Amino acid sequence: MIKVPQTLSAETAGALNALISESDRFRDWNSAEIQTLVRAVEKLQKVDAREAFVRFGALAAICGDVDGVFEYYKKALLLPDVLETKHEFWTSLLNAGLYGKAQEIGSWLLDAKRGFFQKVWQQAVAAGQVLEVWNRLSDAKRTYPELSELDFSSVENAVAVMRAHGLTDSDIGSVLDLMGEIQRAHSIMFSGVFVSILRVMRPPEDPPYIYFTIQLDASVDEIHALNRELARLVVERLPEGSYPQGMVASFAKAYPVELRAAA
Amino acid sequence: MAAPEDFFSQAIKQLASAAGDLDYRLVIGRAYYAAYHAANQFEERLPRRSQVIVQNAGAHENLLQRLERPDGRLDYGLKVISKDIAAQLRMLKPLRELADYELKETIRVDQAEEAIRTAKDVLAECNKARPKLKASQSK
Repeated sequence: MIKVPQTLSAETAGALNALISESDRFRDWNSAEIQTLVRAVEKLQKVDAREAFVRFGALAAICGDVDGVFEYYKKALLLPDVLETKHEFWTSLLNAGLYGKAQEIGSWLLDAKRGFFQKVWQQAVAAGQVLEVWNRLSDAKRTYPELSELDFSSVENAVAVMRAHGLTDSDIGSVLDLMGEIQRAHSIMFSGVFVSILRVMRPPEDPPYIYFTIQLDASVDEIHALNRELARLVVERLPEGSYPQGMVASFAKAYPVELRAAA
Repeated sequence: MAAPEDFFSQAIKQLASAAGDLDYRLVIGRAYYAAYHAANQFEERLPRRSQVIVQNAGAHENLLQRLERPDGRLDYGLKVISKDIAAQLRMLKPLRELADYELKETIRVDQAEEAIRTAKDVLAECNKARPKLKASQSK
């Protein structure tokens, strides 16, 4: 019977989600709560290796273990059901703050024929794939007519601003990657359902630009320390030592009522 | 006469007695202008000023872009300070615009506190640059 593996799979997924709901802080791989789950996933591995590698990857992600995430991703990709594997690892990459890498898988998932567009487009925009979502939208609408009932005007507005500045998704990804690096250094995942909140800013005196905020469940002091670190990394690492033209991003305090990242 | 530090002191005072959305907006505005004026004074005192001019943009965006793209012949340390001030001011600018223009938004105390912290760091960075500016002016 396959009842046992299904139960194990559901149990480990539930336990992972419970961990994330409890706190956005990265965990220690050697902690009791993680090791208990590792043992459960090892049992799962005997009946469904792919599911197990996906769960190990998710665990590595919430421990901020970048190498671990990629190692389990490679193993899972060798097994059948690559579609689900990519979708699940995409979420893990986002939880680990590996936004640029997540964009690569996101492009693949956004192809309408893969069947994930409806599930992933909002998160893809939040992870900086604004142009990718917009460019795939007409195809996706042909495949899923119900998408025509949704309001994509915020994406359209952001796209217009990006085009005016020559801003690309990978430009945004390069900034979000710095933020992910800082998040891992501070052991904190994004808070809420979406990686970031995207706004189009239209100050009367200056050209419009797009503004990403990654919401964190942290103190004002810590948020500011992260933003200070971000400014330093922008200068050190980004081309020209500045934000790409037409965008800015920063960390902001999330309120407890906001939903947290889901595994 | 007023100095950037006066705007900053005002922001601190307003935060101490702030009771809600409108007060937080005022705090953010004062904190932003403390940082903006300090950054502007820093940029004006540079021995070699950036020639970047952005058409169809106002004084704020033009200042940011001059700070982001300083003159190539400028002292390395001053270039880094210039870009660092720009990166911080970039993060502060949308808070000020939300506070001043987006009346349907609810402005929170943590945003006001973040604005004050960022302004404080911009002022500190500008002060850090003073000896370098003096040294470069005396050459």
